[in-house]
Amino acid sequence: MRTGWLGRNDRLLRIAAGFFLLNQILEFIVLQLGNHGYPALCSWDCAWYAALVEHGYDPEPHDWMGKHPRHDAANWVFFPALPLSAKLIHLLSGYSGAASLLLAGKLFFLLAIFAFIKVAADYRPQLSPVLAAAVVAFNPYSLYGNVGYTEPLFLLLSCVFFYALRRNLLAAGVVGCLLACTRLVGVFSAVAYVIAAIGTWRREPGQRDRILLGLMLIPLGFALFLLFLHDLTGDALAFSHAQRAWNRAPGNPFGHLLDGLRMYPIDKYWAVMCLLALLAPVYLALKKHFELAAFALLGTLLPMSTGLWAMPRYIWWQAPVLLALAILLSRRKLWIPFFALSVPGMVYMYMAWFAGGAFVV
Amino acid sequence: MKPLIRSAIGLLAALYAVVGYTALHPQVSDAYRAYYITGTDFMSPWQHRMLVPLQGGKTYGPDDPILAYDGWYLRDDGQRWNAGRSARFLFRVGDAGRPGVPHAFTLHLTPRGAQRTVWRLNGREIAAQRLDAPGTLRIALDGALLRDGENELSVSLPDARPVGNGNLRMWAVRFDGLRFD
Repeated sequence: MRTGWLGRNDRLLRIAAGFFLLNQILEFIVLQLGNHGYPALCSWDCAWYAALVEHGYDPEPHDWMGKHPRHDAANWVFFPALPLSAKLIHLLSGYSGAASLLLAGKLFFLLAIFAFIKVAADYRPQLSPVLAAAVVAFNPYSLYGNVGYTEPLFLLLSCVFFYALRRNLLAAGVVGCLLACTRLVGVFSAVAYVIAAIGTWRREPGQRDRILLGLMLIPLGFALFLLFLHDLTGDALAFSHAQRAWNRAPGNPFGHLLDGLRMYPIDKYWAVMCLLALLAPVYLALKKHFELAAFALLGTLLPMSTGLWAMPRYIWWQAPVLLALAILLSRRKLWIPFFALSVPGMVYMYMAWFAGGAFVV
Repeated sequence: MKPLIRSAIGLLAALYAVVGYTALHPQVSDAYRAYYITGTDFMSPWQHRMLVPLQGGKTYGPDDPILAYDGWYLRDDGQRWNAGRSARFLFRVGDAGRPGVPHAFTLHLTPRGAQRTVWRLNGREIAAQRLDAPGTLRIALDGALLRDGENELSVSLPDARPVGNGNLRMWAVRFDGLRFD
């Protein structure tokens, strides 16, 4: 009988590694058939991150290879956790910024599959770990796990956060801090933390200081990023203000949703996807997983407030949404039609990625 | 342990107060504030720097940074269309703006069907023209209307209408170029 952490998780680790490998094989086949090399995977935001890894944050806005003729774009909009991780690989290996990002992304992707299996087993013990792994590795938007984006790191950290939330609130606060350095939505893990901590706060008055410290730790990395931006640009909120270069400004998320339903077919598709994603927090709340529901709700509404453009990757890389989906697919063999459509969808996304389709961004 | 935890909480609270204050009090240029923070200026700080005086006799294309565009939309194919029922250009004039000296704009435009247009320079109407087909629109004006420095040429487009097929943008004319004489 195997003991220790590795022994206890041996089967889950093998499932995660197996699905990651299958994902990589499929990606390799797509690359070969399309006559593309791995460097072609790093484009759009990854190219921004790669420049960030190699040169740091921009001292002033620029035109980003002629794509922003107002010279108003800057990499201040990108949070530091992913580029810092890739920078470490860049420094240790000497690989380019792009290669370091792709490597970091793939490493986080593998770990995220495992972490999601653990969280799924935590919240829904009867859920098959194979199905949980498959939902992460073979959903139509799992492309983003392989292209140097923040998604796999965000999923990994949010899974570890929810895992820790049920065991050690202080540790959850530390993970929440990392999550808040990955993407703005991560700051709102504080809401999930408060919901999860209410019970312990009432039951164990002696733990209140530790609970409060855990909560206070969540925005720490984000706060330090703001101080850094203030030092660099004079504007601590430059990460938000610089969105102007992409014509993105916070607005009414439901206004964007209604606009989407009236616009092009792709906008309609995104709007319907958002509506379906908003069912996940409802379902999770009905199952009394209020911390997951709150995170899913904020994780959908917050990015939706700036438009529907990038919503698919925000939706399909959210642990609570994926959990709700995995539970749904476990019923009446729904996973069969889902994956029959999902895997070709994933291949299509790769083709669109290489074709430069702006909707994949 | 308890005093240590409480000290950490106190330190974090103090840090967040500093960060909150810092976030509310940016130390930036007026141009940065107007463009990025309040959104009251459609021109980026770089565009303000790039706005050099127009040269007479030269035609500027639809993406020339010597003009600043508001209410205009640059498509991926390089075409610049209006996006709404009004649009404007900002440009700079050097000493060519002397009062009493005649000047003219020649605008290269492609209307979407028949379009009424009303043109204003620095808020004063200088032309009202119905456009039916691609071509040029020449607007003569007295140099007294021009200001040294930044000037605004605006156009009202009451017949702008949605493109359709899911595109909610209100299109009326395509801007193909401008010549200043």
